Amino acid sequence: MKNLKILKGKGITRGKKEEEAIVSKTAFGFYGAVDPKTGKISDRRHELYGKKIAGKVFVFPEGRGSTAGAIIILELARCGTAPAAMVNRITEPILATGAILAEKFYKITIPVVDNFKEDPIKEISTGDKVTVDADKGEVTICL
Amino acid sequence: MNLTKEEQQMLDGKNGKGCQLAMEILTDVGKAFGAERMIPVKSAHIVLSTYKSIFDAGVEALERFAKLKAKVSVPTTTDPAGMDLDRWKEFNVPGKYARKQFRIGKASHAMGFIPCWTCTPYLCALLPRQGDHLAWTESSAVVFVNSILGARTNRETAVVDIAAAIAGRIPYHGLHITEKRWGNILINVQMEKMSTENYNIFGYYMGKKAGTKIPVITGLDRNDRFEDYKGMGAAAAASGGVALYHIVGITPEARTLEEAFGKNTPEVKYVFSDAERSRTKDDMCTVKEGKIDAVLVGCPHYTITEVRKVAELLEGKRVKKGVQFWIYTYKNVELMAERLGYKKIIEKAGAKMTADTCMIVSPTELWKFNIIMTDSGKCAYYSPTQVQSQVIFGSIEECVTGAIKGYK
Repeated sequence: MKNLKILKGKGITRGKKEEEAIVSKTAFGFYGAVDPKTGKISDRRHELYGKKIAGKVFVFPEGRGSTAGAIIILELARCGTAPAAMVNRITEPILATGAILAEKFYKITIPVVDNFKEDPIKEISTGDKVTVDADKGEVTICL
Repeated sequence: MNLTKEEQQMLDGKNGKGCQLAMEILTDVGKAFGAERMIPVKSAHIVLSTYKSIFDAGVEALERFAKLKAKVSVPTTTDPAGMDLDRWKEFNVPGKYARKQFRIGKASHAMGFIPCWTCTPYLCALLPRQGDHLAWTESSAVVFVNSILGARTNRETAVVDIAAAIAGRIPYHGLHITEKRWGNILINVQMEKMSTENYNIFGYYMGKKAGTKIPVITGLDRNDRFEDYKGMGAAAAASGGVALYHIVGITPEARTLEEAFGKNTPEVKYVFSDAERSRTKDDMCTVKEGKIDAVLVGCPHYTITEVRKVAELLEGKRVKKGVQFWIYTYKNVELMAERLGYKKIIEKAGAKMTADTCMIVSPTELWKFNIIMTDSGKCAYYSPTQVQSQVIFGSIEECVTGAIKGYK
């Protein structure tokens, strides 16, 4: 039987996805930082520079920066390079909006969950198999 | 969400399919923020304005609304476009990119936007009053109208801005609510002189320290150069996420320290003096010296007063051959500068004025500048990713000297 750890938080959008996690310890601003063609992080100043967030459960503490941020997520959805799901300590409105628009315009579901008792940055490691359920507000880590 | 009868009708499609799509987006977003209801807004400012930042997804979203015959129901302005709409060829903007930008313009006009293409709509076309609820994007504009004018808007984002402009409302949460506008942190400024340059540096510092919190500032005297607040706020909104600050004794919601904090107590206190100023200015430069390829100023857009100042500094001088010197503003200012002779002085010195856009949202990276100089804290923050260059921040006087010598 698999060992599972469940983190209870607040689901912000809809849907459920199970994918590999990629974790950033620092805040992340999508504007000017992600290449929509590849889904890789293009900001040289970021710890995950060059790494792919496309199709992964992207775990980071909080968002940052430009009010144009949501449109980057929408373009990632259009290109098929959006993260599968997002997990934050606190999800900035701009990020949640990006996920909502992705579903509205391109029918791509991006479950987003935040507001946990535990610290998701400490609990989840890059490479973990993680299920993000925004309908239940739960993140399950396969240990 | 609790919708009014009118709002429910919009959601049901009684006001057309465009308005219906707008309300669907607003209710989804409102639910995600835990907003219980909507609030009508007096105006909107749209960031879906430049191809560089909105990509094909943004163009498609705009055109989808336009195709549904959506029209704005409140005065709605546009952020800078992705190029100088008249002279884009001079700036090496590719034709393919220009055609995407023209599609943005076409959809914007069709929906009834006021196409001023500026990050300073509060100087160009709209004048929010204290307490007015708005749906604005553009972090530098949001922080100015919230802080200096006492208006109420969150840092709205793309597509939600259009939805709000069409439906004439926005979810009621965040900075629309009085209690959420009280200060969180205290910054005491201990500086003998606050030059324009120091306001930019202080803004950058404030952003780094505050993040998305609300700073209360003491130790600043009244500054009649409102342009300094424009630059300060822009830097804070870029280096951090500041959407509102209070300056005790100066801004409308901070007549006293107690009023600025409301029922909050300061979470942390900072002091900004010469030491922090020096350290921050160093942080704002990715290199200390070198050959200058370009001087880029006007972020946020220069006012006619700022254009006059740079013309006075350039008069009778000559920018070194090979160095680009571009002064960004909006069309009204460019035309006025032309009429007043400032543009001629600027061009005679080998510099250029350009309208409708800026160095961040137009494809300046195609010029492959190695080192640029700027007098803008916001531009200094975004240059590494958006201009893809090294950056040296300095006063406008230092920038002009750098352009003439060709190095710092």
